[in-house]
Amino acid sequence: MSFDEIIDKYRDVVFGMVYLHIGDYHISEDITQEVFIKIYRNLSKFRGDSGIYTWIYRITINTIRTHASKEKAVRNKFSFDYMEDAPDDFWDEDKLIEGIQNSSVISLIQKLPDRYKEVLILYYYQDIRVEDISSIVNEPVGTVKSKLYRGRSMLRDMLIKEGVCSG
Amino acid sequence: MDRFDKELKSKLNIELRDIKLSDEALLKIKERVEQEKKQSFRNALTDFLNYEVRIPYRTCIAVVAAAAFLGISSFTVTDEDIASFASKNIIEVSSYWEGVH
Repeated sequence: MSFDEIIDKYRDVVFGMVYLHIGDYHISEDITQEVFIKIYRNLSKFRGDSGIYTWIYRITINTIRTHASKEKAVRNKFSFDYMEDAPDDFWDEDKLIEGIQNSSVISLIQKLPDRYKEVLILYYYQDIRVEDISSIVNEPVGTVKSKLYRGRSMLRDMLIKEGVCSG
Repeated sequence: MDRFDKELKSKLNIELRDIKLSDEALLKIKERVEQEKKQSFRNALTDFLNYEVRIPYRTCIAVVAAAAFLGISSFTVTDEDIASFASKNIIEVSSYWEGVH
């Protein structure tokens, strides 16, 4: 796949991923630019061990992480460490769906801590399998599943609150 | 995926439908890539011009010796050379020496 084909195919997907993490349109554009320059520089080194999308998302995640480590103030604006893990049936599904309808899912995801955010974005936005997410974020499958579970719980909690407030 | 996951995914994709990379940003990416291409060509050229051929002196001696050997061996007189020489020149040479004596 040539670089031009990659740009055509992945420009909006990569930008969407970056925007979901960062939340600022212009900064997201700058980071997307960095991502594609890195892709261009390393395209000749891509050996095809993994799918090209896995490779592109890995570069995207790493570029976002680099940016996030520079902008520590942006990171982890909200602390959810106090939260207990709740079982799936703890949540009222109808209220959750109502929450989804009544709130901005983008802004809720952006409020999540980075470690959960990146896994949830890959899972929900890109519909990527847990095994591939594990390869992209360079973490064991078990860790990814655990982050997915916790991130989802946080999101459910926020959705209930948001949905009830706005609905 | 359960109902929650499906609804969340669907809503997320709807919200992200209008979040697109601007054409200006795309143009910037392409300009930077062009710059990178020019830069990499320049670097390759500089590397080529700065390239130094370093041959160890032992290799030089070996090459010279081989050339000398091949050169000398090409001048080695073979039986054929002698036969050819004898058939063509021996009479003239012999008569010359007879005349001298």
